Amino acid sequence: MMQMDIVVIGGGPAGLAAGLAAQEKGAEVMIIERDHELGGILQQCIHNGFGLKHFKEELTGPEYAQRFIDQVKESPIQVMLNSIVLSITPDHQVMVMNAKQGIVHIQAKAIILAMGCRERTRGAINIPGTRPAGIFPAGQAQRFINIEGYLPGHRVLILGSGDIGMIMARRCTLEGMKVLGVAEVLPYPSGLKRNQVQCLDDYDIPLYLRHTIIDIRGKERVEGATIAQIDEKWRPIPGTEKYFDCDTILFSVGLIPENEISVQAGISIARNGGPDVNEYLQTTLPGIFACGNVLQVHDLVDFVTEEAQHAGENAALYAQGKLVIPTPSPEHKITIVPGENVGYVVPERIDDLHSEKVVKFSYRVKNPRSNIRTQLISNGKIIYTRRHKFVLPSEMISIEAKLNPEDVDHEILVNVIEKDQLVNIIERTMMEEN
Amino acid sequence: METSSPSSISQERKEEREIICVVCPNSCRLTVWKDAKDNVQISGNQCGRGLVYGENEYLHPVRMVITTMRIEGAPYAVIPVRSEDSIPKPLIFQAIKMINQSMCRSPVKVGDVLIENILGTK
Repeated sequence: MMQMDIVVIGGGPAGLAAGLAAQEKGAEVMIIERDHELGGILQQCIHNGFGLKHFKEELTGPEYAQRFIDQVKESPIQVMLNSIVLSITPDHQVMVMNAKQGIVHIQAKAIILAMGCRERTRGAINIPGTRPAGIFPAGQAQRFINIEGYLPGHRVLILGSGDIGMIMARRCTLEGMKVLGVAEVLPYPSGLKRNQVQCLDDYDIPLYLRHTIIDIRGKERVEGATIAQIDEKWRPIPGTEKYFDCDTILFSVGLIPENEISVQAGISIARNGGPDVNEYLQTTLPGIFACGNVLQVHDLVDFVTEEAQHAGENAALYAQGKLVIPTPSPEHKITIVPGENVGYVVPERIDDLHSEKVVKFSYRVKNPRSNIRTQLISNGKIIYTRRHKFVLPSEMISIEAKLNPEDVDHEILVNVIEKDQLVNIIERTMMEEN
Repeated sequence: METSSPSSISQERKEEREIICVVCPNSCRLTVWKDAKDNVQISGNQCGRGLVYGENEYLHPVRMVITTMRIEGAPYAVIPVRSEDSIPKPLIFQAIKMINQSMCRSPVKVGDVLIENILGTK
């Protein structure tokens, strides 16, 4: 059986950065990628806006990916392309398949999961109507246009005002499609303001907030769709229906971390859809780490790179026996709890707090707020606080908090609150603990 | 007898537009107009960067042109291309048309120039 220090599953931005970081620590690394080239989803993200933080430049997706691909090419990292990982085991065996070699078994010392996400589909959100051709998740349409050179259709309706939806509204317009509108269930656009201006306003594309698609018509091909306004319980309001004569519908309704092989191996999955990890980004299986979109859906690839470097370093140290992560006994388990206005937090647990150390937390709020603060509360006390001018569910927040074993008990609560709620939260937490 | 008060003349606003500033998350709603002397005036900004953005966006809006171009001899039919820098916004669709009518040949690397000085923008 082939032996390897680290096997990285996925050759997108997370896999590339993790592989490079592990190799720099002296580990022997193999990156396994199912596509015929490296780069992952960045290959089709041809718009710019990538790398502002990491390279201090504004690059397109392929340009950003190429920087890392070039580094991988110069390094001893081995790359297996056109290969799909079928399964992994708790003792770090990887079963991979490709057309040239058939089935290959690799014994690794550590594994890094970097498989990214899949898109949520029309079927998954139960949009009623017929099921004709011409219905695509937005990212699939993006691949058709930007990589394969196909036009998805001529008259398009888009559901979802996240960044992918808005960027595709612009892309379709530039390629000669008529974008009839973008419908969004929330009362505000869920992507960046900059995209609203440069993708919708620039081309006079109407944005229908608090609307969803309630019907799709067409036998072989989409003929039209109806949108309607929804109430606070997301029920369509009668009388608000609008019919669009369209032949294409794009759905930009969320990304789902692709954790099939993680689940199959017995790794626990957290509430955000990614593996439950500790501060080393190690999953519930020792020696198996996770980073990038498979761990949590990111909006800035710069943060993916940072997170992946962290996972890569830790995986290398683990493989070399230099990082021994204890499995804490029930009394010493520290769980991170999402509190007020927090959807989820990564990491979900701290396994190794025997002396003071800095831990990075990533999280998203449930509701947009301004002039707000993040608080970490443990043992009845505020152990960290930070102010924010704006927080949005569409913008992941990242903080670094110094944790001291004396101040932390078995739970750390992460709250995002207005200033005057301060006292009530502490009182309530102390009451619940007593 | 008709009188025109001096203040109403100086308050004359020509070509008034609303522009959302994208420089920072504040997303200030700027109101931009030309006064009687054709000077650009801006209100609604909360900082100096907004003033600069507002004026540029009002007088010379520019955008990056990012699209795909057909390629021969490559695994797929198109490759992503971009303008080196922003070009005047009114020229975007013309530029896209020119790019759509062009073709390139493999191999092409990041940074290779495929169309020089498109529409005279250098």
